Amino acid sequence: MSNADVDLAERHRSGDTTAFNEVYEAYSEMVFNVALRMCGNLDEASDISQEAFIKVNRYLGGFRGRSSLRTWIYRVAVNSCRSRFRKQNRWQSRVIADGGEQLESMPGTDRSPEERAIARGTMRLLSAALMQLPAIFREAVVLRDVEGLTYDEIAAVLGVRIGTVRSRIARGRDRLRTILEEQS
Amino acid sequence: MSHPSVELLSSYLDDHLRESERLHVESHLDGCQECRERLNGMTHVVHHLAGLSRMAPPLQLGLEVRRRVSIEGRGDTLLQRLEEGVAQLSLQASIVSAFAVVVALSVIIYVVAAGVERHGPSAAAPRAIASEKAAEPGQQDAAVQAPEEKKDIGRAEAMASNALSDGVGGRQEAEQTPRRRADILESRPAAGRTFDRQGDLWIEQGVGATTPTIYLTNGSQLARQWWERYPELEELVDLGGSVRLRLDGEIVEIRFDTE
Repeated sequence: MSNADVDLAERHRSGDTTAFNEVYEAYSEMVFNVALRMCGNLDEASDISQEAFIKVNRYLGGFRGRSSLRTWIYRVAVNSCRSRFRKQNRWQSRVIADGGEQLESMPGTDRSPEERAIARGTMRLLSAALMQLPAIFREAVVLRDVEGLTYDEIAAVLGVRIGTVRSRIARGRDRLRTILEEQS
Repeated sequence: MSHPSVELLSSYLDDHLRESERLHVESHLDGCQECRERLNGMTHVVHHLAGLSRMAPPLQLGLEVRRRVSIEGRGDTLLQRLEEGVAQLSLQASIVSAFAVVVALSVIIYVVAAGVERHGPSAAAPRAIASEKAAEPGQQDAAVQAPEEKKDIGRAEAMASNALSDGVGGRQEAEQTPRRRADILESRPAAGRTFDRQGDLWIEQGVGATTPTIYLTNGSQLARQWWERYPELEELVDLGGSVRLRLDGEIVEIRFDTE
């Protein structure tokens, strides 16, 4: 818990409109990328992010610092994804054909053209493979391997035990490994 | 030879094992090609996931969020201020404030209604002005209305008092009610009910401080069935805390369980 987080919430509660802007500036990229990796679609990620920030604005005043603001916003983002999927009846799993094409157009520039082409191919496969995972595994893998959260943080975001986090990450990674091996 | 579980291999990658587990995995890997390949495959996955490109949110997203927040934000801020103001008041101040509001509203409604009745819709609006102009007929009307206003005030006072005592747990709890109401940080509708937030706990109105007989975690199957039916209920738990409600005659508390 950070005093700065609680102060920010307090400012929002007291009507300081700049507090929400600070939150948006600090966390919009994080929320957008989580949504993107969860749904695999730019437009949908944008819609999910929008809903997440509307909730943040609505509930930020009630934030009391039980967790860090970052963890709390991750939780709001993940739950916005869940709500979205639930409404579309595709919470358990989703396969999209073009997931990798759309998202992986910008590989690192510190490689040779050939290496970049290979990396781009792998990234596309991986992006698409991610979308084939059951959502509960995808959440855990995205939070751990894309966002770099600790097991403790993931447990707080998802509201599950550390053992469950460990299991979901492992199964998600192993399934991705299998999918990539089958496709390569 | 038993192979380490996928959980052990994955946690080994994250250096998230106890020393004894780590030694067991390393000793096994030394002699098992199959597990080494499995671990290499997972390492490959983790490496590439970390390298997935990150994207800046579209400019339009920021504009749209701010537009919606500016519309919604004004109402919420005002509501929050009102709630906080009420929460900070003492019992006496709360009753006096509620009483004053009820009186003011009663007078306004009565005056407007009388104006409509006597002068028709077109004359209703100037009714208040009429009371300021002593030479006009409105002054006489006001004098005639005074006793009825007193009756309305008395009725409104009784209603306000009942509303306070009935709000949480009925009349017998009237002595405790003001303290509890002051603890309520906000109220929200969900699943066709209304929930008051006290700290991290959302309590269905009417349930009060009754001790729950059943505890559920938010990930339990039963809780999930509720989330399916009432996503707005899950939202309360998601945003921090627990929900206490009445289900089939039982008081159930659903907790956001992190460990």
